[in-house]
This record gives sequence, C-alpha cells and structure tokens, in this order.
Amino acid sequence: MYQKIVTKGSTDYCYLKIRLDFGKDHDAIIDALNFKQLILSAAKDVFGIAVSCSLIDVLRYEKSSRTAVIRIYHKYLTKLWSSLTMYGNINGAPCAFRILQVSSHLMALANNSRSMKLHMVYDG
Amino acid sequence: MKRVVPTGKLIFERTSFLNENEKHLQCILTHSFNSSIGVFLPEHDCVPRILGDMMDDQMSYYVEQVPLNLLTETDFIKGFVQAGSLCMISYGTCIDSDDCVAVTPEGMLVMSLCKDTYQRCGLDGHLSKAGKNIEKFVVKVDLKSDKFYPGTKYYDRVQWCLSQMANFDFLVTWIPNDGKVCPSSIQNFFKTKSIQCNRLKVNKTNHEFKNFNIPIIDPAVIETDSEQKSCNYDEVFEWLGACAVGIDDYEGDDYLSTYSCPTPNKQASYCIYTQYEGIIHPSIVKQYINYLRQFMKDKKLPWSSVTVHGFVDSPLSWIYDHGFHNNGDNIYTFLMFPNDEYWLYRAIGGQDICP
Amino acid sequence: MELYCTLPKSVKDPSDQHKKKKKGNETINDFLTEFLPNKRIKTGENSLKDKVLMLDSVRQKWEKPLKTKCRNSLSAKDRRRFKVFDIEQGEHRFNDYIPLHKMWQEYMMASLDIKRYNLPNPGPKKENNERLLKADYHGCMITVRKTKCPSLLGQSGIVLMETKNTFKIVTKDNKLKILPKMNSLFSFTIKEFVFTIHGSQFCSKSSMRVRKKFKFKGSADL
Repeated sequence: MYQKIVTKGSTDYCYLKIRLDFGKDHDAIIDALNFKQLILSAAKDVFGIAVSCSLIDVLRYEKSSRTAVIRIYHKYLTKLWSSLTMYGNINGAPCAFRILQVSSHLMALANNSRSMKLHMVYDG
Repeated sequence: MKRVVPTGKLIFERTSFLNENEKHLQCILTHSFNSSIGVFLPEHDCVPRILGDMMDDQMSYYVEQVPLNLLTETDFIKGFVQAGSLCMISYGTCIDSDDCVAVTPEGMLVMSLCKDTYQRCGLDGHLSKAGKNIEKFVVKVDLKSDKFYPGTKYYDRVQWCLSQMANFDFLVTWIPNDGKVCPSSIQNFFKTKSIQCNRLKVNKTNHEFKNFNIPIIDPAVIETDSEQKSCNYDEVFEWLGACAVGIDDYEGDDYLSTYSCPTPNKQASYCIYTQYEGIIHPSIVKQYINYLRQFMKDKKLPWSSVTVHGFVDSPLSWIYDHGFHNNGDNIYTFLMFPNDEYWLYRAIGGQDICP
Repeated sequence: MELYCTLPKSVKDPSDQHKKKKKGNETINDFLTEFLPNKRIKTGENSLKDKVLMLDSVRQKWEKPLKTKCRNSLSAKDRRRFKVFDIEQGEHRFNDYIPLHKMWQEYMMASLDIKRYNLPNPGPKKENNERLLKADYHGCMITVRKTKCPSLLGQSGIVLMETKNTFKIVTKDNKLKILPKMNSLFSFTIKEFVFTIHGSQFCSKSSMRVRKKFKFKGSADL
C-alpha cells in the first residue's frame, strides 16, 4: 500500500522567474511575443542558434511588471542564465534581465519568502 | 559528460491518512517554518469561508531588534516556550550569506552562523551539512531542557555568548497550550521589554480558472506507460505548480509555450487556487488539511490539493540543515482523494538532505 | 719512559761488571735482566727475540677534552629537572599581579608613545606595529576575542608567562589558564585604545621576537 519514490538526479526541466528592467528614463511596453523574442536573441548573441532553438516556454507573462515564468531544459540552465545576464540593451535603451527565482520545481515559483512583503496592523 | 549538480530533489510517497504510522502528521508537524499555504479545488468556484477565517484569526507578529539573550530568560521560557508552541524565524537574513536564528515549536533555538560570527560567539556547534564546502555553522540550544536554568555554568555561558551577538528581527507565531490564554500575550510581553511588536496580516492571492482542463488522476496508478488512463505523478506535480503560478492559457500557440495539461484530461467549468502568505503555524496547517478532507468528501470533488511552502531562509528543512544553492525550496504538497488516500510530494533543494 | 734522566751509575763506573768484555749475547741478556721489570722475566719470556717493542712514537690513550660550558642559560633538560619555569596551580592570586599589570601599562604607554595618538597627526603606524611585535607581554591583561575552539572564547587574565606557543594567564577567580596562541585572536586595552594580536602569526618565544623579522603568513583568517 505504501509506496515511495525518490528522484535525486537532475530533473528534466528547470523553471526561472525573470523580470526585465529598463534604465531610469526609459520605459517600454513589451508584450509576450516580444518578450520571447528578446530571450531568444539574448541566447543567440552569446551561445548561438543551438541554445536559442532549445525548449524555452513562457508559461506566464505579466505585462505590467514585465515578469515571466519560463521553462527550459535543465542542461541549458547555465547557458541561458548567463546569456540573459549579459544582455545589455534593446535598440539603444539600456536594460537588464533580473533572475528572481530558479528551481527545478514549478511549485516553488508560486511563493518567494525573500521578497515577501509584510502587511502590518498598527495598534493604537 | 560532466556530472551536473541537481537543482532539486523530489520525494514522492503514496499512502493513506488512515495508516497506523500517521506519516502525514510527522511531515506536517516537523516542518516548522511555513511561509505560505495554497489550496487547489477542481470543479469548485470558491474556497470555504471557514478556511479563510482560520487564516485571518491566526495571530502572527513582526518583532524588531530582539536581543538574543531575551530568548533564554526564564520568564520567556516558562511563559511561552514551555506553555505553548512557539515558532520564531529571523526576517531579512539570507541563509547563504548572513546569520539566521530560529526557534522551533519543540523549544530548540537554532542558529546558522557565518564562520566569523561562530568564532566570536563561543558556543559549540557543527558544520552545516547542507551541501559541500559551505562554511556555515549550526549551533543548537535546547531551551526546554531540564539542565537549562539560571545558576548552571552552561546557562551563564549561553547568556554571556548571546549577549555578545547582534539583535535580530523576527516573525513570531505562538499557540498557547491553555485555551484560555490569548495568543496576543506575547505581543504584550515584547511591549513590556520596550521592543516594537506589530501584528501581521496574511496576504491572499487567488487564481481562478474557467473551462479549464484538469488531469484525470487515479490514486492507485502512479506511473503509466502505454494505455494512459490516468496521469503520471511527476506530470501532475508540474501541472499543480503551473496552476499555483497562474499559467496563461496559450493552448494552440506553439511559439510562446509548448506546455499543455497532461493527458488524459477532462474539462472542468470552474477551478480555484488560493494562497495565503505569512508565517503559519504547523498545527494550523494540520487543522486546515483535516477540514479540507471533510469538505472534499461532502462536495464530492474528485481530488484536492494543499501546498505548503517553507521559508527559503530557514535554518532547518524538516529536521535537517537547510541551505541555499540556487534555490531554497522546502515544499510539500498533499494531493488528497476522497477514499482517504493521498499522494505526498516533498520538493527540496539540490544540496539538502532527503527527509 | 724517561728519556731525559741522568745515566745510571753502572754505566759511568769503569769497574762495572758489564763493561767487561763478554760475549755479545751475554752482555745484552745481562743488561736486560737487570733493567727490565720483574714481571716480564717472571712470565718466562726469557727470549725476547720475536717480541717487538715500540720505542718510538707510541700512541697515547686519547682522553676526551674537558667540555668548557660557555652557555649562560640552562638547557631544556636542566630546566625540566630543576622545575625553574613551572607555575603552580592555585598558588597565584590575581590581586597580587595587579601592580605588575600597572607597571606593564606604563611601560607600554611609553614604548608606543600613546600621547601622540590623540594628536591630529598620529604619525606612521608601521613603526607602531614593530614596537608591538618586539614588546614584552608579561603583565598584560589579555582577552580572547575570536577562536576556532569555542570554549576558549572570553578567557581573560594577566599574562604570567609567555612561551613559544602559549600564554599562561591568571584569571580573576585565581585560576591558572594556558591559552594556545594558534588559531586565536587576542586583544588588550591601554587607556581607551584596543590592540589586537593575531595569535597564529605570533607563535615565537618572546626573546626570539626581538630579532625575528615577521613575514605575513597567508591570510589573517583563523
């Protein structure tokens, strides 16, 4: 009746939560398709077509905060992460990809206790 | 081919709530530091009000600049550590770079210290086992011990050493053993010591899904090969995660995302995922799960799931040392079925020790 | 063998028997029986034909030259034997050493020239470090601030003796403690200034420290 399975090796997929930040004076509205294109061009610039043609799924994209949850293969994690870090500007506007969370479990990206905001009730 | 360090480990267990060992209680009650609890209900449009009230009624506090030797004073130990179940965790400290302090409901003061702080502290501890080449030291002091009282050499030494250390901000939640005592007495205690203590409100987020595909899950079948009458356990976990994150519906558009609901699946008119964030006491989690089991049977839902996220910066994950490599996961998910069976997923970081 | 004594009388005297002419061998035999020691004759070795007796460049038995002790200090063996440098437990009172500590403080203040610290231009600090290195620490009130061994932390007292690898101190409750220098950080205060000593870099006898040039050993990490 009781069954237990432990997976210790590298799992197939890896999930990242990323955000695109612009410099002070610049701001742009980017939709989901553009966002995916930016990720692909970042990967292509540094590592070439191989990484940009691998699996990159945008599972969720929020236009207002330019935050996305993406899914990639585990073996391309370091390559994609480094290529996103190196990506510096879009058409002359300085920008930066911020990697907020990384995990091999998608469930982990639902909550980030480090960026938890405390709502306090102030008593009189 | 170079061996890749795993970024995460998954432990899957399938058993029943009615089992003698009651492993589910062991899992819930030893996971002391919970930062959020989320519930997914398929074929249902709202979470029962009682559960929401349970979360709002919970008393949790944010205390600023607590000197550590206050935690070893007799009136604190007798009044709170021994008279109830106290959960405290330091706020704003990262487990991989700073010192973290926590108090477990069993009355253990756990400190995860950097090398420099440990060498200046003077208390005996061991090297953290969460990962290789991590220079963090774990010091544990048993506050509930019989031998820990003023007058003993050990007590005086601990008091002196803790007074040399810096002050920390804490998130606190306390449930007294005696039902007549109000949990807000801990707030009064801190106020008498002129320490800022404010009550915390729980944050709530909702994801609603309409006309949504949900997988068909058979509690008896975990892995399927050819004749897929139900989904694999790992696909189900990924899908639950996708619902928790609030996945966008891109069905049909392959460019953005090739992810889809695992097959076989069926359509449900309404589904809801609600998440509460704050600091949640393990006994409240236990009450929550018990209520939800009954609710699921009453409303005849095919299954329901509860996910609890632990603090990324807690010094312990279950009973083992916790570390942060590129993530600090210590999550567990109960996927419950009406026949009292459940699937338990425990997800931890790559360097942590399997419970 | 006496080479420089006067000739025997029988040789000088003309009326001596030996001077009478005899047969060659008889003269020699008579001469030898008269002058050889009795032992040799008694053993029946009358004929000394095959015997070889070295008369010239005889090797004397070599005697060890007497060692002249030019060292002024005791050897380690003697030190252990006479128990000169042992400090007994329980026989030292902290209060007895407070005057020593005050004397040491005055010595240190003079050697480091502490008055100039309060001036706007304190002067080069390198000079200061050298003086600290070469100073004597007997009588210093020392505290352990950082160490790899947690039980040593917080120990403080007046230094009674400094060896190559340890400090022997007497604490406020009159206990004698031995603090290893390795893997520890010590500190002492003079007036309102706090000085820190990295024990791992300081492992040498106080007398050797004066002459030794200090090299920075790797990192200041314990």
